[in-house]
Amino acid sequence: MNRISLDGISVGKDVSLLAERLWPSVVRIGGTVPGSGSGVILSADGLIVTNAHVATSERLRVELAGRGQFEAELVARDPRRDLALLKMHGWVLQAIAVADVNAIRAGDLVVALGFPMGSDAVTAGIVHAAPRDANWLIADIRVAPGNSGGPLCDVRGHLLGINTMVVDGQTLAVSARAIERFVALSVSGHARAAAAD
Amino acid sequence: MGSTSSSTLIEFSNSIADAVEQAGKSVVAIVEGGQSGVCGTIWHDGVAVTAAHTLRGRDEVTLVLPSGESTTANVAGRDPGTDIAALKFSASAVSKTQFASLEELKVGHVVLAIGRRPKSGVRASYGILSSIGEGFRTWSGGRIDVGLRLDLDPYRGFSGGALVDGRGRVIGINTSGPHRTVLTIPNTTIDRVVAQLLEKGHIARGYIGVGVQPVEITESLRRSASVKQETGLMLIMVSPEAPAEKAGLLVGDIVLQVNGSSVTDPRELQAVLDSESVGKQLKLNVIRGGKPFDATVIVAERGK
Repeated sequence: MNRISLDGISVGKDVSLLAERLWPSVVRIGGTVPGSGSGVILSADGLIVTNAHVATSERLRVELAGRGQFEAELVARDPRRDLALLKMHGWVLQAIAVADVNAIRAGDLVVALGFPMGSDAVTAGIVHAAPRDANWLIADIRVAPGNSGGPLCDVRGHLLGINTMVVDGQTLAVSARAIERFVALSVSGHARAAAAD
Repeated sequence: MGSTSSSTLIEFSNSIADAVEQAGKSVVAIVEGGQSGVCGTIWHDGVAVTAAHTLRGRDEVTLVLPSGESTTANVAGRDPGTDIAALKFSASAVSKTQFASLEELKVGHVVLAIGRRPKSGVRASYGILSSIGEGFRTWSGGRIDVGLRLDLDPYRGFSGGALVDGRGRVIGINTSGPHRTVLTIPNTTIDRVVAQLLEKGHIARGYIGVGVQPVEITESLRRSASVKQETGLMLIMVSPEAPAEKAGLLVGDIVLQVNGSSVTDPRELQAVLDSESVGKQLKLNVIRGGKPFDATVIVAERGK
């Protein structure tokens, strides 16, 4: 992160502080083995969003930094949008705030948190292009397998999307708006299913 | 979230986004057969530049301007040596491009590679200047005034787009370098080449009409000619009626110096024969039959 400076003003320390603030809202999914991924806590009562390609079973092992490993259940999964929603029970968690995707400009500084190759990492970059549709966001930022499902945030620490894939060297994130829509649908669907039981 | 956001970080983010917005006003998309291709950078009124190799022989291209308006541009000239092509177009309201002063650049400065796609608009990649070196000559013989290396990830279609500083001022245009790297052609080189392209449609190259081969100058030859240089360029071909023949040079002559500088590699001779050399005299120091002598050659312009 040394490379983030402008006219001698280094913002590396500010990025570290931002990351410190965000880590309690980020989880590792599936342990330390290769093929594991990341997730983001969306609500204090334990809703976690990740990629569908990370959440491949009904019950998943979720690790919270400094709080150990827990089990989460799969609430909903949409492989077409590459989104999955998990639920952890019995804990009060720190939810991430969601950004206004309309305000995003090319060049805005972004940070990615996650567990590339199994260990925690923070990277910084910029928005590559202002989103042209509501579903995807392109960022010029270095990510690796294991970052999947982890947050892409703006400098205020608000969620812009979750890092999903790399195409032509650019990172594609499913946008926060697509996530919100997916969560709203999943939760109402889940509530209906629960009521029918 | 307990603590407040860092204002330094917000300012930093805004200044980068402002730079992208500013520079984006000077970057156009070049549409190729209805598909999004590469980029161009508006240089001055009605003139844009791009990477010559991307044109693949076309004389006319369609530009999508920052306003979203499409316009036809004619290729006014191209220089394969520096990979610069000049495009002429007419458009009503185009903002004035701001340029960075290359002398003020330092290693570690923020740079942004700005591009444009016809539909999704401006795009940017972030990096830093990783080295600023001396000028060099490309494989195809063009002279690049400053060697700029970047720590920046290239993306598809970035060629012809602008490299800008943290304030959005244009440092040069980007083209592909070896091993998936970015080669930046500095704005001073572009100014020089574009001026010639607009005037003549091509870049003049010097011509004296010789083929050369580096040869060792043996110890006995060095002694008889009283020279110290151990390598020279032997003329293995002299074209009829060419400047070298007019100056009396013959196959087998060994050139030691050009205008007082030793030449030991054919590229050094090629470097001398740039566009500025046309019409000027070259003083050659030559060995023939074991004896040194000087010859004066008047450089002609290489035929197109």
